[in-house]
Amino acid sequence: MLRLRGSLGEGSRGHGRAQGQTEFRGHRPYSPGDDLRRLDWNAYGRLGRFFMREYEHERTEHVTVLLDCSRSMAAGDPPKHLLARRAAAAFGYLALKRGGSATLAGQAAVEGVSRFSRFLDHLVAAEPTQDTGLHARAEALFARGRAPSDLVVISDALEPLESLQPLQAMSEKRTNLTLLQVLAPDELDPRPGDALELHGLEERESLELTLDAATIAAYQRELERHLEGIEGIARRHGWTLALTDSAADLRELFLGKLLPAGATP
Amino acid sequence: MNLLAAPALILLAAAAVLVALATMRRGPKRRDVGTLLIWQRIAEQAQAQKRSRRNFDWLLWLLLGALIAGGIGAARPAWLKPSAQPRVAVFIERLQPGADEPGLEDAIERARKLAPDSELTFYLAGADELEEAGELKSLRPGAIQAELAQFAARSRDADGRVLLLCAPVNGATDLGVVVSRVNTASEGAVFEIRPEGDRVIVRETTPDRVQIFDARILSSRKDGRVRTWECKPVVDDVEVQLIGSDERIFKLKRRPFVIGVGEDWQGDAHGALYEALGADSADGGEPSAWLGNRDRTPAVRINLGARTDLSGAQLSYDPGHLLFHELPIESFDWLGEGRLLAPDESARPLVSAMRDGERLGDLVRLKAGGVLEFAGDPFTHAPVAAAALLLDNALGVVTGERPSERARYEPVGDWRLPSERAALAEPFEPQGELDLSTRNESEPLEFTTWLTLAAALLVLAATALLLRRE
Repeated sequence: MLRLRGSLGEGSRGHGRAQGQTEFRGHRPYSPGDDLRRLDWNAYGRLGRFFMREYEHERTEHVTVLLDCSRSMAAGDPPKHLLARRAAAAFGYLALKRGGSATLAGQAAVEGVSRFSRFLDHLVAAEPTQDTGLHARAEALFARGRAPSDLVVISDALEPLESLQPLQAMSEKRTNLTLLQVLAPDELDPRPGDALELHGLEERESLELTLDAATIAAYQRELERHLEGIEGIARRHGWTLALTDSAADLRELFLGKLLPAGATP
Repeated sequence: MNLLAAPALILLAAAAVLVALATMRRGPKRRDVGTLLIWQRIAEQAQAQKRSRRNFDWLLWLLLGALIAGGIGAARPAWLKPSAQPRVAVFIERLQPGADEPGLEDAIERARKLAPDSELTFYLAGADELEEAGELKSLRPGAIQAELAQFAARSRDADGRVLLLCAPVNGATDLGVVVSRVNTASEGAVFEIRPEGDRVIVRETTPDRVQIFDARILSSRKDGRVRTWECKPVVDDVEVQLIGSDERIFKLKRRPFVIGVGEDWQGDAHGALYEALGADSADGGEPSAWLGNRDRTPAVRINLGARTDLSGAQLSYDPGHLLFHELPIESFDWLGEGRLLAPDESARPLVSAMRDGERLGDLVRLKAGGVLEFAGDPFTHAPVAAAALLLDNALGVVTGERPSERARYEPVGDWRLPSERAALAEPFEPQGELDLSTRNESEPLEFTTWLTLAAALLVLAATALLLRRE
């Protein structure tokens, strides 16, 4: 399942930053996988080594991925964190591939496609075992002082809407934000059941409920209200918002939905 | 075990099912979810709904209902039907049989005065014969004791009893208050017209109101309020007429008494005995018995035995048999005639000859169809008086009625006379009291069975509901 919600001007980059800024900035060493069209053959002729030409707009394309590593991301079949980490890897790879850099929030920035494996290492280490939710991680990111230019947030966003406050604050500082909301199939469409002990991985608490038709209908109404709340925030701040279930196909997610919708990068 | 135990066992069985379910019941299944954020909101909404309206849990209410029904049932509640009025049963002794009952309205009214504000039920013997029986309950007519026994049985649920009797009866006060059936003594009531042999006995209460026609008055005697007439009809039809305001005629006619004579009943003694019977001529109708006839029945047959040496033999007979009633058995020489009937298993021996404890044969025996067989002819050889007595008994055996006791007249038509008690009824002081203070409550109706059954059904329904939830 994949649906895009409330993005501002699909295909745009949101804040109207000038496109096609090609002011030459300098060179950097060639890394395998770099676009050969930007290889500076003159420099190679003079120096005998490959250098890549860098332009101003590429230099500023730095993607920060804020991956929700709270325990709730371990839920679902398949678990939400699997699609979340794969999507984060894809975002990082695309950024690196375009000559930019990618940072997994809380980790060092990675530059160059050749260092993509380091980014992957960061992702592998990002197990969904943390006590901190999206709110705390966003606040920590915001507390660093400099808001990222492009921020990709991958989370189930099943937190009170107030937890999105730090992200909204970053949007005020011209951060281009994409929110990929990953929910488990059973979270989008719960299976009915009689008296159940619902154990929240996030809260480590249990709740007894009978999942009859009325309760499920109430859940879906409440979930829809929550999603609409997020959508309203996204609309106000020009976020690109996508909702997917954890069983969605990654290729379809990116090529079919996220990238055409203008998601970073 | 009584009837109440069966539903209790059903309840216990239901309890066993509940216990089994309770032990087998598992807790709710666990399902992991990422976060309870949304679910908690649902739970809060559910809690709010629970607070806003009462939670109607069928299981709880079913079990509560079972508990209430079982609890009330265990207390053995019973419904005592209150009686708005005391129920009093009234027995009215009949003054005369038939469709009319003199003084009935007066008797009913007197009973009502005795038990005011009561629900009265009236019982009369043969009330169903009355032209206006109304709500009167009918008893089978009979002796007063028999009628009172029926009344006691039929009125056992009554709170009290009133008995209007013609005269006091021993033990009647045990049933209730006894009052007189009449206000004034009965007079001039014929209560008996009884044929007896060739005579008719008439009994009435004084003053005399009887005239008897075509009969010769043999005697008339007065005993207290009762006059007894003994008369002998001189014609075949006799009338006993009651004169006065209640003019009635009771007719009697002669009953034919015909005895046939056969070829063995031809001796002089036989003829004398036959004459003594006073039988009608043979053309008076079909004989009720035959003498000395070997073909017709019922009959007294003689000389049927074979010549036998009966020396040393002894007699054996049942002295209690009707044949020997008041009979001087020693006047007969049963063995002297030397005749003996061979033993016949189909006949009942009445007089047998025995020798050395062994039955040689019969001297007199009774066969099916009312045939009395004599081996010899005791009627000829015995003294006349004894022979006449033997013949009277013998005809009594074969016809069921001894000629000496046989009524020669019988009533014409279906007329019935009042009882002697009714004819002699006179006022007497009330005996006993009508006590309604300890009136019987009606049979209480217990609900325990039904309540226990309801409790069991409720428990079963709760069990079914529980199974559905599982």
